Amino acid sequence: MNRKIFFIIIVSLIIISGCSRFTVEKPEGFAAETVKGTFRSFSPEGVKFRIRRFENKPSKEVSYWSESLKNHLEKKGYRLIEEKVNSGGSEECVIFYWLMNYGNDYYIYLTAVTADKKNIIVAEAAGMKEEYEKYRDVIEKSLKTVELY
Amino acid sequence: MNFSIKFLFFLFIILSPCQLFADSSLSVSVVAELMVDDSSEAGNKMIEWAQQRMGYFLQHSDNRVIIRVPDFNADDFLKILKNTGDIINYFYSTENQDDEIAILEGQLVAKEKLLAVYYNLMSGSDYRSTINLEKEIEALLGEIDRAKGRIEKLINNRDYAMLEINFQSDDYYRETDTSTFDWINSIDFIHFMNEQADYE
Repeated sequence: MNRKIFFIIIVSLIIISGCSRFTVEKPEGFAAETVKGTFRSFSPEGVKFRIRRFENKPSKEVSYWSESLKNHLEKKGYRLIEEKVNSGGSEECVIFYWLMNYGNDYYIYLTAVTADKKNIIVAEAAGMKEEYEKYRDVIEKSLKTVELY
Repeated sequence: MNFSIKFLFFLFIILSPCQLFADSSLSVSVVAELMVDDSSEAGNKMIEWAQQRMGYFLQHSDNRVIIRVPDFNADDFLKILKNTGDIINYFYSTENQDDEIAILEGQLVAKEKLLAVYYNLMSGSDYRSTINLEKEIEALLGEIDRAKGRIEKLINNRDYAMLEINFQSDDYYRETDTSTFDWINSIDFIHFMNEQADYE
C-alpha cells in the first residue's frame, strides 16, 4: 500500500512538473506544489525549497554559472559558509550555503546550480539555522533526484 | 622534626604531577567567527579582555582581531565570545611542541660547543685558516641565532594562546552590482523568504 502511494506521488510529481523540463522528488516530510514550472515545497516548520528552470543562454557549463552566481551574491554582501559539489544526480550540482541575518534570527540560505546544454536549474532553500539543519540532508538528497530532459 | 619532613614529603608528592603538567608544551590556537552588530566595538572588547588577562593583540582591523593570552581558559574565552556576538564557527587546536624544543635545544648546545672549538682554533691559525674559520663562525652564529629565535617562538606559543576572531557584521543585502544575467538577479534571499505559497 505504502509503495503504491509512493509510486503515485512520484508519478504525480513527474507529470505536474512536466512543463518544467526537469523532475524532482520532493524532500521527505515536505509538502510540495509545482506552479508555472516552479517547484516549491515547505516543511512543517517553514523551511522553504524552490527549484526553477532557466534557458542556458548563452550556453555555458555549470562551473561558469555557479561561479557567476557566487560572485554576484558575494558582491551583495552575502556570507558564504560552505561550498560543495553534489555529484550524485544526473548532472553535477554546485551548492552554496550562505548565512543570513533575517529579523532577529540567523538563517541558512542554500543556492544550488546545475545545467545541461539547454537548461539551467536553480534551487534555493532557506530556514532558520537550527530548523534548516534538520532538513539539510533531505534537501540535498532531493537535489540529487533532479533530472533534466 | 619528623612531622616537618613528612609534611615536606607530602607536599612533594602532591605538587609533582602539577609540575609535570606545567612543563607541557601544548600550544593552543583558536579561530572563531562571530556575528556582531558592530565589528569595531567587538574588536575593542576582545582586546580589552586580552589585556585584562596580561595578554596583547597582534592584529586589529575592521573585521578581525588576533590576540594572545597567557593561561588560556576555553570556558572563559567562550563566555566573552557569547557576550560579544553569535558564534558562527569555533575551531580549537593544540599542538605538542616538546619534541621540537628538545631537538632544537640539543642542536643549540652542539653548535655552541663547535663555536668554542672554532674560537680556540683561531688563536693558533694562519691567515688563510683564519679567513675560513671566520666564515664558518659567521654561518654558525647565524644558525645559533635562528635556533634561539625558534625556541623562543615555540615557548611563546606554549605560554600564550593564539586567538583569531573574525567578525561578521549585520550589514547584509547591499543593493550594489546587478548581474548581466536576469536569472542571477532573481536569486535573492529576501524575495525568496517573502514569496507566498499559492494554496488557494
